[in-house]
Amino acid sequence: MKLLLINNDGGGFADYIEVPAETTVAQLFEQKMGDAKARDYLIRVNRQPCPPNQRLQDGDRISITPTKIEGARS
Amino acid sequence: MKHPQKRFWRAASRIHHRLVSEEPPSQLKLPFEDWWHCDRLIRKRQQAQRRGWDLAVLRLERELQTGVAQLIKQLTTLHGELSSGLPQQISFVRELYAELLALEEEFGEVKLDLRAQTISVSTEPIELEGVYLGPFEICLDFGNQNTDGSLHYRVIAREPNPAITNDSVTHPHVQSEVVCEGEGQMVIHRSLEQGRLFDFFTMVASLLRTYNPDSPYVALSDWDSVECTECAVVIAANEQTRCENCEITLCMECAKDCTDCDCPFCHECLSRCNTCHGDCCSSCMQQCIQCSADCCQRCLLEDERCSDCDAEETEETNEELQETPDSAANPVPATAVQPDCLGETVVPA
Repeated sequence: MKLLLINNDGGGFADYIEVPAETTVAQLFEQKMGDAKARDYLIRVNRQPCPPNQRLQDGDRISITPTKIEGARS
Repeated sequence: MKHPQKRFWRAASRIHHRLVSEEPPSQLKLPFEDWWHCDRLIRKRQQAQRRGWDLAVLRLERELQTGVAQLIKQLTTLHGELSSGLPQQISFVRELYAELLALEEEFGEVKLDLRAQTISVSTEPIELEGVYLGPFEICLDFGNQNTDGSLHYRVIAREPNPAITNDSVTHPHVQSEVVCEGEGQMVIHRSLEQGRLFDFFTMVASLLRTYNPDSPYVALSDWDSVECTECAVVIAANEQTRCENCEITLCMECAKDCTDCDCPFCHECLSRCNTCHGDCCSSCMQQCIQCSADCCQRCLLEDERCSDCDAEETEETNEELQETPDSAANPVPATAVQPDCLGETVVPA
């Protein structure tokens, strides 16, 4: 199935990706973010908060946003 | 369709029009700024090493570590962008509408001003490291664009508690309502360019809830601190004092106590006693009635003369006594002999 993944960690680019059916949010996170800890991110499916075991549907929009973003002086 | 939803739809339509009407800025950019930043740090580190400044070397290494991590992040992003092969994607009106609805759910209230072309949400009161900064309003001005083509936004403190040293700094990373986005710069700007309003507002709110002690406008540890007017050193609230006369703020180093009243004064409000050379304030400073020299109360004698004048007079008296030995040899009797009956009168009993 095809999903729109928006990774706001770093550049914030959006990409359509293909994943196997029945993929959960936690599995997708692990696949895309490697060793990163899920608790450091706000993960939303179709702009709604979601549990880690939620199964993704074809056409879903997933956004991964870090909960801490550090500002700077320059 | 309810009235607020109609307004959301109109706002979404206007934002979409604004986004598609502008030429999208080029996305592919090498991170030269981060590269040169790291290069500068490496040269500074080499200099510090040559001079044997060990602490500076350690600090620069830490900064370099952060700088290199940022550089890697930027390059990874660029790589990811090239790999995705997707052109700039701008949200459709219905997506923008969905973003506004999600915003309302997330922040409780979305303020829409269609005439001023602004969308605002407010954060909860923010407190960082024990410093209360209050709630902030994030206001997106979709009628205006920055020079780089991105939409303009402001961050307004609703209950401002600015740094004492700078009224325009209402948050360690906000000055004059402008956020310095640091590591969030690219993602925040990209979310705006693509019309991902929900991501934009939540990321700015996350940035406001996070403190980066390495690069604030004013460090939280100095939030309630002020600058010494004389030496410009930043001083904590409990380590400052004021000049008793002109009331300027002073650090403990610059404040000098008057030798008479022991009150603190600035350099300008103290004078030097001509006798003891101690610092003395204008209230305590007096003048010798003989030579008019400035003199502190401790050095002024009972006859309101300075010790120099007093010593001089004693010396003169001694000299006079030495010059007239006859008078010394035949001293004048203590009681003068009066002529008989002079000044006497009969007093009735």
